[in-house]
Amino acid sequence: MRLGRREFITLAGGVAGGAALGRVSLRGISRLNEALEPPSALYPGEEQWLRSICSLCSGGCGLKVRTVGGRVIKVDGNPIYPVNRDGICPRGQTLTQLIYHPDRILAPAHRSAIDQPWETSSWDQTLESLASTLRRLRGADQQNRVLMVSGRSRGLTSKLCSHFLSSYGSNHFFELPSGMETSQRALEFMAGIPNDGKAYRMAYDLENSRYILNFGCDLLEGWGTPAHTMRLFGQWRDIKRGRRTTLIHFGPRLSVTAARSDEWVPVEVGTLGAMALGIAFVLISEDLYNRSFVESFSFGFEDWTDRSGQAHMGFRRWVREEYRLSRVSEITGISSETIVRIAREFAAQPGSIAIGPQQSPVQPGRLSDAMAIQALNALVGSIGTRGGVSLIPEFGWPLPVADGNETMRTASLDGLVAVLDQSPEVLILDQAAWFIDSLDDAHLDMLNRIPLIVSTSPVEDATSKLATLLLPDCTSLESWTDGQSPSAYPYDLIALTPPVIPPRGDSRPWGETLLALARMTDPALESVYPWKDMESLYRASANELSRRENGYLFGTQVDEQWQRMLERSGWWNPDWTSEDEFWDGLVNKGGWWDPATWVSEPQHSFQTVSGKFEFFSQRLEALLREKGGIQPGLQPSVEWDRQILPHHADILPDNAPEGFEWTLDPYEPLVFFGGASRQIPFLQQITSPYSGPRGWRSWIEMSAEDAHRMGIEEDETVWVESARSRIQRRVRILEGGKPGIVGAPLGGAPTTGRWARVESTLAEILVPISDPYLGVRSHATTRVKIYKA
Amino acid sequence: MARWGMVIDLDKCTACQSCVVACQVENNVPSMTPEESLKGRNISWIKVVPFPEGSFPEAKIRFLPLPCMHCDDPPCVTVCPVDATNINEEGIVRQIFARCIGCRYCTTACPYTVRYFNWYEPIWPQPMEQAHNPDVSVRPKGVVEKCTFCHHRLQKARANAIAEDRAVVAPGEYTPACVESCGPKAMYFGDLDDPNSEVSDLSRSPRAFRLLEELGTRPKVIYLAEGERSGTTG
Repeated sequence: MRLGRREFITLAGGVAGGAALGRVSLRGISRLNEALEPPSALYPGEEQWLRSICSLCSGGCGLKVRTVGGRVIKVDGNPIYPVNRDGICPRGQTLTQLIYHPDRILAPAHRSAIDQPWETSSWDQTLESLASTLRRLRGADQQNRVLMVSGRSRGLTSKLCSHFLSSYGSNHFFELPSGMETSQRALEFMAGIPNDGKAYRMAYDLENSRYILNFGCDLLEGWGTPAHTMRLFGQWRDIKRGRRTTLIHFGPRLSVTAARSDEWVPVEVGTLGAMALGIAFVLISEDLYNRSFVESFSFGFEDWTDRSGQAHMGFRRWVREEYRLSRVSEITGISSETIVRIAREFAAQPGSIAIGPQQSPVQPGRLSDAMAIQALNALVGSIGTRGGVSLIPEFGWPLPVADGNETMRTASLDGLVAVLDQSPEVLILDQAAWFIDSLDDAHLDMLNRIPLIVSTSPVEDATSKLATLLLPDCTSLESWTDGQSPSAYPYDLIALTPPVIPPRGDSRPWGETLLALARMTDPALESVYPWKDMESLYRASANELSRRENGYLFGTQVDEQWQRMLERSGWWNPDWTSEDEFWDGLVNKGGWWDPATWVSEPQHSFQTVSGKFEFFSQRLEALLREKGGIQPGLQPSVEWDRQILPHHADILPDNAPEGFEWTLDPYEPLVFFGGASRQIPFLQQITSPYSGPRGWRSWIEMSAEDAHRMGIEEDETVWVESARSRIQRRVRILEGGKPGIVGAPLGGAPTTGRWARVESTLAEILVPISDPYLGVRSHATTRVKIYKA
Repeated sequence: MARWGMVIDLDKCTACQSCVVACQVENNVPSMTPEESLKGRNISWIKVVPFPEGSFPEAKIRFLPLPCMHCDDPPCVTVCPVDATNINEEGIVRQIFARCIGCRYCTTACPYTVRYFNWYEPIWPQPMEQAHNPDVSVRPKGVVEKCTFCHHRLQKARANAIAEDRAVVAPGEYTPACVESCGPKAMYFGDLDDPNSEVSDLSRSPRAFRLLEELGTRPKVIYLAEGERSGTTG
């Protein structure tokens, strides 16, 4: 406020008068201060550096936030957060644009139909309208007509979501796939998990890996936790660390990861499993595999006979007979020399690991491929070792309730679509733009038939476009936010940060909305969820955690080295002695972790039928018998072993219909990974580091060879037609891309808000391919033809 | 007197473009409307440029983060008729917006094409301007802008040094936003004249090269070429 002479005299008079009366009028002084405050351009306010956690993907990187005068100015990586230590991906940087987005939803609202205008209402009113529906359905014993789809696959709010749903009585909680499900499933079949009722997750010790065979994972785009992978990538190539970690990338598409790896091996589409088995062939034929592990701790490597006397083929003979180099070379399109060379390098040193296959919500990948890849890890003895792979207990924020049962979480798109067929009545979309991205028009029609769709999005997006009720969440910087070990991360970790700024407008943290909704739906739930807000819930949860006898509060890298040294000598020096100390430490340091979670010992006992690592998974056999209706005693055909052993199966038929000469490979680019970032202008401007269209449009990537042959120019619009439908896309030309392969990103222009643009979704043309053994979709690679629009 | 310079290790760069966004947020660079964006009018003081080499299967794509090179002999400074761009004693090529007359000689003279002209008044849809960095001025229509090595951060660091009675800015006290945000730690920043600094050490690496060195611009952004193991399989 600028101060004119007249106002100054009026104000000063007021204060002087007050002072003369013996008591200074507080209001007078504050008004005077306000008036004397220089214009904001000269004094923008106090500067603060605060900590928070990113919520733009499930990784949850630690943030260092600069605020000036209570406004968020800049977001960077938190140097003491173990996952990302300083660095941050471009998405985290754009939190400022999300917080101050012109299309933020700042108050709860409702509308009678999606073509009607929104009416804002109070939180109580809006929640009551949802709670009354929930009560009615419960009264009619139709709780299963309530669905929730969530993008937050980790953290306490996610637990609260699934627990709320289960105490309400619905079984339908769907979460964003972590992208590791298929690899984890394969490892569970082969290495087994303890039957102790606990949840387990697959983790890679990539920090210590020395030679990485990457079967298609977009490590530098939509995979795991981007800022963590980037940090690792820098470490792999850090000359000060000594020997370089070699990264070999297998995959048909010239992805950023392929371009940045040490070697790109452009295998044909859908042949990752065959490639892995070709490498296994060399390891076995040249006697390069880890004998001590394979001979003592594996099952099904040599031919064996089961209890009924039936002879079975061992993995060794299977690979030597079926995956000869000439055949693998023919399937994958890669020369035998290359396969031999890579296999020899892979076996040459400890710390070798095979990871993959790549998975995304529309392409969970094939179990048989994933098993072939895990078999490689067993052949070099990298299960549980330094730089290897292992299954470790899932660790996270405990929900401090008497009955900790949650609704079973499903991360399968197919499962979700099946439920949509059962006429649901309420669909709650919580950070679920990724889900809408995976749907085609027919599925969207199914959504449109649902009477009540609730969106929690803090900004207008694909979910708010479909919704008739808005319960706007705020961003992670405006609320208490937690973190927990992201997928594939090898250490136990939990983190917590208080709000950096108050919620904008009338938005509310979704966790608090849920607590209120629970109480309004059923007053009896008050005793289940006695917390008035998320802070008290975190406090109760942290009290449970404080009873752990391991781990440390976050510290610098020097602290980390010291703690590891202590642990190696069998010591543990706790940073806290009471619940209060733990809480204070947690909030001040930002989190707790155990840098000694990864044991780095070769795993020697396995929770499988044989107690060993199973190249022939007896659990998978039992499952397939059950599915195929085969009695335990009966012997199936001789083809039986082939289905159980890791194998290759073609995903696309050999003969393409005329004109459909390209194979479209959908993928998640870094900026749209996990959905939800379409509205952010800074991200739209950097959609891909390749040249070509400059954002705000969806695109496809074609090889320069194909583009020249077709006379297609950079940035030109083309039709992409599959057996199902056709869509328009702009073209990015990739110099050096593999001819015949077309990359297609999930995500694109915003579908709603001021920058909305109508575009057909990619899902419209995708033809899902099923996994023959699991019966669910595994791929969405699709034969297409491309012609100028 | 320091001579500020940057080293970018291309071997470690993941082409994530975190540096691009960090710079835009730090320096109040406006994001363009979709229409302007599609015309190629995005302003990014640092951009990641792909350099494809060879054709399939012997192809390789290199990615080069490209900020202002802060040349010791900058061609842009020579052509500026009003001294709106000059090089200071610490080697930072400055841009003084109040003096710029928008002639764009400098954008033409710069061989690295890292100078941007403001064709329009910047647009900040309400309330996006709330996130403006108060340390950096918002440029008006008609002036040229470019990377300043986050010069305002140097001023702050220097003010801190003076307040603490130190003669010089300590190593690591002054870091541009792009370097700070880099996930794989591929970017280094510091005093090239300090023989003990990491940047001067790296600038003497056998992998070090400068862009278009033959033009005699003497850039202070130094790249480290990729490691030995790089290739494609046929």
